[in-house]
Amino acid sequence: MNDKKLNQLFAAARRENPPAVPSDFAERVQRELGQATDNAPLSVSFVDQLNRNFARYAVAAAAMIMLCAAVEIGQSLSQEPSIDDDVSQICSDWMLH
Amino acid sequence: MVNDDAELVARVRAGSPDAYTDLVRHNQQQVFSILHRYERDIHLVEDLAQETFTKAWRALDRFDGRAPFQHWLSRIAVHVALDHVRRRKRLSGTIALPDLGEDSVAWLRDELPPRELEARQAREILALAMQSLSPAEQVVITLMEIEGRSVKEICSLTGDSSVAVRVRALRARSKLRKAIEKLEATEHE
Repeated sequence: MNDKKLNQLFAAARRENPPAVPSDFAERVQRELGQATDNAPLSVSFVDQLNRNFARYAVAAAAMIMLCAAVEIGQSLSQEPSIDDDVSQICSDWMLH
Repeated sequence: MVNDDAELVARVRAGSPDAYTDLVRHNQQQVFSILHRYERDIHLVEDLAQETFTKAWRALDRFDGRAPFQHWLSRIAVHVALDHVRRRKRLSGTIALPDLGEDSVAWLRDELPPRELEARQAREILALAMQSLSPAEQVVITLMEIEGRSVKEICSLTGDSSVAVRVRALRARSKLRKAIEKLEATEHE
């Protein structure tokens, strides 16, 4: 078996014409889709949306955490009461009253 | 009928399911052309084409329009074909090889065949020889040697790296040569 014979096989197979598409093929696809999805095209589930936007949510959450940390560090450096101190104060006020 | 795929996709997304019928009509010949390389039974080709368009419909919200719709659809068709070849390989592992036609046998017997082989006969011989290939090798060699696509196109259609495509093509050619030598030896007996 030489390469020439294999190439002849490929060349002959290349000449084969594709089959004719049935005239009602597109309508059949549409009917099939209508039955399968009850004519609700492209409905996207909550989980799909969550998956698609996961990277954005993750970046937003990370940015929020970094912002809070920066504020907290800034406050502690400037000797001002931190968010923790405020929360402790509110809790003790609420308990005393 | 609107002929612009991008416009049809926009209409489907806007809630017009009829636009999808036009989209199918516009691309059905291309999908049949891809799928008939992997299946000779026309009824099965129709089923595979239907599966391709159903999958495309379900994934249409993920079509971002960066590549033409036809290219995106071709990728789905190639993956449907690959799944089909995998299923067929699992099911037909123990089935005996069907007999070749007389003309195909005569062509195999000739050391230097003087005449050109008909497309149908070539398909018959290749279908037998391809049984020795893995599904991924069958798809790569079909895209490269029968459809005449470049390595870059094949990478884009299959999602494989160019190294993987080249290695598969080389392996597939070598396996095909051996399988055809085996067929020749069988037919000489």
